[in-house]
Amino acid sequence: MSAKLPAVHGSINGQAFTAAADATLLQVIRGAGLQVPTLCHLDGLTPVGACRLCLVAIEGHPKLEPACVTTVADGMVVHTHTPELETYRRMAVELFFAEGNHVCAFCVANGSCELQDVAVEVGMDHSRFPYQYPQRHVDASHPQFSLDHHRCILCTRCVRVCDEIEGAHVWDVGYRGSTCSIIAGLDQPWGDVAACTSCGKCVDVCPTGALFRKEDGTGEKHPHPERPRQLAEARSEHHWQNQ
Amino acid sequence: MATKPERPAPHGLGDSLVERLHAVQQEHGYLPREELQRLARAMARPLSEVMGVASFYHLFRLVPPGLHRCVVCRGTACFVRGAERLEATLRQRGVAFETASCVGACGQAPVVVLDGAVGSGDPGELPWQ
Repeated sequence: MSAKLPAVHGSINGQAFTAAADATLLQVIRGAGLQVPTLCHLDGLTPVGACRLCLVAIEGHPKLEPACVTTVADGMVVHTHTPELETYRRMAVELFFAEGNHVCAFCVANGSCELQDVAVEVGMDHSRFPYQYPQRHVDASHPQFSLDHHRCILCTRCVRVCDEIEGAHVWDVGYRGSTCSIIAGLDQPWGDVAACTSCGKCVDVCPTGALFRKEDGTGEKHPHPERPRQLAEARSEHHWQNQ
Repeated sequence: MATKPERPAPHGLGDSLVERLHAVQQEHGYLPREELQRLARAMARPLSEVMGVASFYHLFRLVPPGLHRCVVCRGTACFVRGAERLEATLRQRGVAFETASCVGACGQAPVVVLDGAVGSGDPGELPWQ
């Protein structure tokens, strides 16, 4: 443990941990070999606590906290899989499915979709909430990529990777409530946005089939969610894979 | 252990984007695309960020307004005092209107804003009268 930061101690699911005082709970949980599902979190990007799947219970704390944006504190006693948490997690995943139009059978990401994986992980086989079947659209104006809003879960990974790693900030979140959507530029067709460098990082990090390469057919998408972490590390350590 | 990524300052919009959007809307009656583009350039902010803010608030209009403007408040107090009926009546009479979450004049509920003037909805529409 580095001398600069005081170490904090606590326990997760009865397992003792020691961590740097500025570590997030999610880092500690994963560092201890434990699992909590996440959709919006991605190593290398700023955590936002949007998907609410990494919620954990902290003893003596009145509410559940998202592990990705909660810093550890001394004496923290954390539980990651109480029956309450498992119910909420499953409910959150059901809401994701009910909110958009997620049809795995003809989705480009079938088989490599994080939403699908999370549904399996939390044991969701159907949604108890009424499906909204929202009327959304597909933006295929970009020469290489497409955005199918029906499959977007608004995790904002594309927004963050474009802003923080690529520095282009083509994407942002527009509108509000049930009409909330990812927008390119001034809510223009993606292909018309001059700021886009066509780097494809947003497509690499999209957890579902919302962003995909045009050549990808059903089940053919191959995402690369590890890229932001690789790039962030390469930049901070000046060490590139091809060196 | 990897260091925790630092949270960026809340998007550095301390330089009053909302105020400037208000000024544009005051001048043009809505937020024309070219003005948003100009504003983004002047503030050195991404287009999508400016659009994200402009589209989030109901009070910003992205399309040119009609001759008159009618806003029905959908706040809790207005809801209780029959804003839903007010909306139904306006719809029935073919009046185009916008809605606001709360205009902050709950004492006059149900509130309707006509061409910028705050007033009470038709008392005849109140459910108990």
